[in-house]
Amino acid sequence: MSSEVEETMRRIIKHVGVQDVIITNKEAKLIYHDSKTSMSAKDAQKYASNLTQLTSQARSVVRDLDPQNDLSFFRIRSKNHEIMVAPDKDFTLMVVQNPSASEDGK
Amino acid sequence: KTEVKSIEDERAEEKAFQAQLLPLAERKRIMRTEHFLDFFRSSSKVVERALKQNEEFDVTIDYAKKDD
Repeated sequence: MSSEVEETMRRIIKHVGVQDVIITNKEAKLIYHDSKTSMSAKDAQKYASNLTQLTSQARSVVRDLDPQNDLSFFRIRSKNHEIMVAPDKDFTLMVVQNPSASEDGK
Repeated sequence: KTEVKSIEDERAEEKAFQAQLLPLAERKRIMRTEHFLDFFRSSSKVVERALKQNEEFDVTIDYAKKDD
């Protein structure tokens, strides 16, 4: 891993509540996940597989409404997490965060 | 009732899972390509801004809600 990538990864991980940073290729195969976090490679792959499906659906929605348009980013907020997904043609970056981790020390 | 998996089953599952993964050397090679770095530079910026925004305020917070 280049020092540039490493440095950015460290900065992302340092944000409060970040549980993992995951990068996949377009076949939903893991290219990177942060092995120092609590999430196992198996869990990371589960996120990757599920979110890749959702990404292609979200992309279809955007393109159906306007064929000139394209999906660039989406977030999912749930009771426990926020998942951020930044998809590109060949790779997708995903961050899993518990954004409320700071306020109540959970 | 939860079924307890045997160690052999668990090992077999783990092996099957590892087989699905891209080999580490291949993952490292991809991450060094200029194509990957281009993607990473732009996508990480978006994600970092979103993280920063989450630090500043919580969009889902309900101030009217009484404490439980």
